[in-house]
Amino acid sequence: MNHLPDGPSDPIIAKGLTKRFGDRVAVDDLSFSARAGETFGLLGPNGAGKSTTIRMLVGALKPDDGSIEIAGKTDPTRAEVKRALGYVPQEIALYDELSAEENLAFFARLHELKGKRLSDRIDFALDFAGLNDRRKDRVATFSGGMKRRLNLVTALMHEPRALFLDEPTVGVDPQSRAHIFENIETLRANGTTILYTTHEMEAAERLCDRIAILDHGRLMARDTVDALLQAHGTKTRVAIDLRQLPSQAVVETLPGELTGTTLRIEADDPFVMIGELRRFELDVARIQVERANLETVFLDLTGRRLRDT
Amino acid sequence: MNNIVHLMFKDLRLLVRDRFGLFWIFVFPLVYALFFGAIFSGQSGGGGGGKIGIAVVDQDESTSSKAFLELLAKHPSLSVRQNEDGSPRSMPLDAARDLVRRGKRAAYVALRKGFGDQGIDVFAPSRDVAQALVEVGVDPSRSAEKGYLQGILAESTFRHTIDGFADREKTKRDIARMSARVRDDPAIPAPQKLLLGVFFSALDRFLAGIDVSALASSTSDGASGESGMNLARIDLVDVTVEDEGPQSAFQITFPSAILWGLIGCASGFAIMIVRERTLGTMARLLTSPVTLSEILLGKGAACFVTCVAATLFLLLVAWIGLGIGLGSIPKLLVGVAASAFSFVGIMLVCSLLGKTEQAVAGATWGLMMPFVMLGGGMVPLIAMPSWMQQLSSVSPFKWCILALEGAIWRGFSWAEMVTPCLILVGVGVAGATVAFFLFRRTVARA
Repeated sequence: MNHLPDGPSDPIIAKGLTKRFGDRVAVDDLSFSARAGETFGLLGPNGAGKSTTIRMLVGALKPDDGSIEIAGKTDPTRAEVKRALGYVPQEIALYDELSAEENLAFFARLHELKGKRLSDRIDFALDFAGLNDRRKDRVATFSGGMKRRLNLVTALMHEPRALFLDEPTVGVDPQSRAHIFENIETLRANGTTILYTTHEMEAAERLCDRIAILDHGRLMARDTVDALLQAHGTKTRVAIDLRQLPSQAVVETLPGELTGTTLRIEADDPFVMIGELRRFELDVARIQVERANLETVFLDLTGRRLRDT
Repeated sequence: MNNIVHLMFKDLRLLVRDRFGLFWIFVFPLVYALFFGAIFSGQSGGGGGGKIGIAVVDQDESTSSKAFLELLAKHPSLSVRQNEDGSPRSMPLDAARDLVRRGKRAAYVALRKGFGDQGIDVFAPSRDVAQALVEVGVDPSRSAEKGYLQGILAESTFRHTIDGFADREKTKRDIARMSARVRDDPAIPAPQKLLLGVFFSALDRFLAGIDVSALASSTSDGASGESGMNLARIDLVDVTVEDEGPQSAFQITFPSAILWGLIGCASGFAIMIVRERTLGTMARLLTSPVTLSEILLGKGAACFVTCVAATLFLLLVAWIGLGIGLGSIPKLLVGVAASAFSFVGIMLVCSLLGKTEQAVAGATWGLMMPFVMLGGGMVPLIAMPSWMQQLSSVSPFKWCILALEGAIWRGFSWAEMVTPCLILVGVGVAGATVAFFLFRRTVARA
């Protein structure tokens, strides 16, 4: 199911990436590429190998096998490659005892920013993160959402051509999540190539031009959201809420999956399916038809739900 | 190079804002030095309680010499070691000199043979004016103690003489002996013999009639040198104290305290490194255009600067605040630099002892504590038995203390400073090298 890279000039190219931790294969022969200016998503449950992949791409982890090409260079540990990429780790990689401004200035100086450019970029980053009024405050005093926003803009100080975001909205309040999504959309509109890992299908659907679905370190599918839905989400899902459970004998003959008092069934034609359910004489409270989404795509590909893994 | 400086200043800024870390690096060592320095102060060279500790030698072993030493022992400004029965403990002259030479006693007082014979018999043939009957040995540099002791001896000699008047039989014998000697001396003209005979007779009657105790009390306050009654000639002997021990307890406690400060520093920076790993800032650093060597050098530079700052802070407090002599400043600076460098290596190795802050903190202290105990961090090297001092050579901390003490009070030559300093630099280089390779293997690539 692995795909070859789209083109030799893509700013992010992974070929046959493999990483083992002892006997466990975290990433298994993974190949994909992100085109210039697109937001490419790595979607998968926890432990799918997303963070391991992104760490190999940014040079923080050495692959056991395979090759990487970032901005045309094959060694991501080289300084010129590091200058071209920005990395937002899953952890809040900031110094709590430094102020927002000091954190930005420190990481920017490592990218050789100084003088007016440095102060301009700090102003831009703080505006972008909506933290201008807190610039002198220590990060330790920030909320989780504010830290996440600062975590993101710290990677933007040197205006990287390729941005690697490793679950940048984990544990974030809705307002900050919306802010970060808007930030990413702005960056995307400005032509930054973004590699975005997430286990949240809503984020992937909203932000990503193309998505690679990973499970157990392997690439399950890779395409645009629409194409994936078309290929793997053709069936319609119907959720039926029951007032009371039927007898055990009836439950054993029911189609679909019964969770609590909710019965979920996939069908090519939901109306035909609902008609067929009449013979079970169910005490129905509500019937909801769910459109196909990445959750159904993942279910179709792996036989498991994304949320349940 | 710029990156190393940026990394170093970032770490120093983080340290300055970590009050808990600053406490262990600056405050705790100072408290340690002052606390133990105060406890151990006044236990060397003197008699305690502001008294001048002296050793006594009784070569005469007469009743008079014993009485004189009793008098010295009772003097409120002197401390004389005593026998179990409370009498002053006399010792051989060589032993007394040795005690003074080693700084264990401030001075010695030796009563030579014939001290008891002198009495008030100014015509005794044994009285050799060229030979003083009291010898005092004191370090020439201790001029204050020397002058004070001379005054005390003059006072005691006078009191001793007055006390001698109370012994009427002895006085009668002394007068009879003087009278007989004058009478038998052919060199004395007859008229003078007659006159002296009348004088001796009158003296005998006079002494029989006076209240000696009243005389003693009336002269007790003014019987020092200014009274002019310096009856015993004192032979002053210079005994130079060998500079083999610290002049103050603080000279021992401050190097130990510096060691604790350096340990706090190494521990703090080791924890700082593992914190970088757990918080993800290390990953961010590694994806910046910075090499692993630069990251480690930045950490090492910050640790080195902090170690030097902590050491100089403690030394300045000792010097300015307590007036403690720092010995050779150039040698001390070399010792400080070598010590700080060794702790950079130790810090880098310690940072790899665990994957969490708690693990590294625990492992660091667990690893260091035996070496600290062995190296003189708890019990001063000078107080260790010789076998333990030899065993302590396996501890890098011993060499750290030795480098500091060598400059401060051991009087090390440059050649003697080389060994501890080279060992410390070697520890630093070895630690940094091991840490670099382990880092590359286990952190950056794991």
